[in-house]
Amino acid sequence: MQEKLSAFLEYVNHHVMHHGGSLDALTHKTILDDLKILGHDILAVFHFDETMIILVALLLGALAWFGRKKIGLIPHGLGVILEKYVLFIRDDIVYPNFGGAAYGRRFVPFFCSIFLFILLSNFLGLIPLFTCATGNVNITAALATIFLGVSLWGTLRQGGAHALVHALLPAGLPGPMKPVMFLMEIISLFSRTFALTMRLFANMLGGHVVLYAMVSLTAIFGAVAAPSLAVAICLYLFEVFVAFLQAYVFTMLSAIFIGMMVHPQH
Amino acid sequence: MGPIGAGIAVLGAAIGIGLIGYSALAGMARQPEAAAKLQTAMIIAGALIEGVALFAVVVCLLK
Repeated sequence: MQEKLSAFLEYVNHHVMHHGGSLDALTHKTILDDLKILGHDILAVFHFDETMIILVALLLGALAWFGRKKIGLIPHGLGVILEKYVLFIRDDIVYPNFGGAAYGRRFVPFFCSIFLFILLSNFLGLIPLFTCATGNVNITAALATIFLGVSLWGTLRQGGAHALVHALLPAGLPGPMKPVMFLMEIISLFSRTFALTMRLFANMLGGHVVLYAMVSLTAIFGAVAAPSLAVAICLYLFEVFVAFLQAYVFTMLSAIFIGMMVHPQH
Repeated sequence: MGPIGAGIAVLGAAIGIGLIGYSALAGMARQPEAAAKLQTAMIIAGALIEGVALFAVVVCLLK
């Protein structure tokens, strides 16, 4: 009995601990370093964030492939869900922050894909034995870099060079204040990007580390710590909510930030 | 020192999120028809505070 329990806890330790491993971003291994691991532990392939990214890409591709024929004047099946989803992103997230269709229309696809990508990564991370791609700082940094590129390039495309200058240098400033404000705007642009990176990464990683701590209490104290498993289940359900919330927050905040740069009244 | 710093960071975030929840709830009670808008603004403000707190916690953990 005792041996079985310790074997189980060893298994949990082995397969849950990797959620904390993403913290050391600099020593992060790539899948190419460990291809040999496929030979003896096939489940280990799901510990890699790259596998998760490929899985998310395949799921998104499948969604687009199966949904493409269901969209028309009268959508049916999957098309109804997709239409509802796109309308939600368009009417609740993009248009209110961009000042209507005239400015926001060409940004809708970007926000649709970024929301679904983060949501799917978060949910795949909740499946036992799978790792959470958004709990890796490299991947959230890549997402935030895409945000940075879209905010600069989108402002340039939507309003021309005039709009970009206007976004980085508010109009009507006295001469000596101009370089100071320009520096402030540049700093705030990069701090927004950094904040988006850290918020998503730390939220997802933090949730998984707390789950791990709760489960590992049973490894330390044995059967006495059984109530902590109930707490872990409650935390797991809370993580389902957090997966939605963080996808929403990332999309909403990037919409607000890009809208502030694109919309000329701000 | 890391865990102590994380604890202090959580203190500040708790005060901030508590104030947001308090004022949003008061606003919703006074004007129930504006509840949806208040909720969106509340979540966004909460996320901004949470971001700052998580900066501090990550810095503490990385040492």
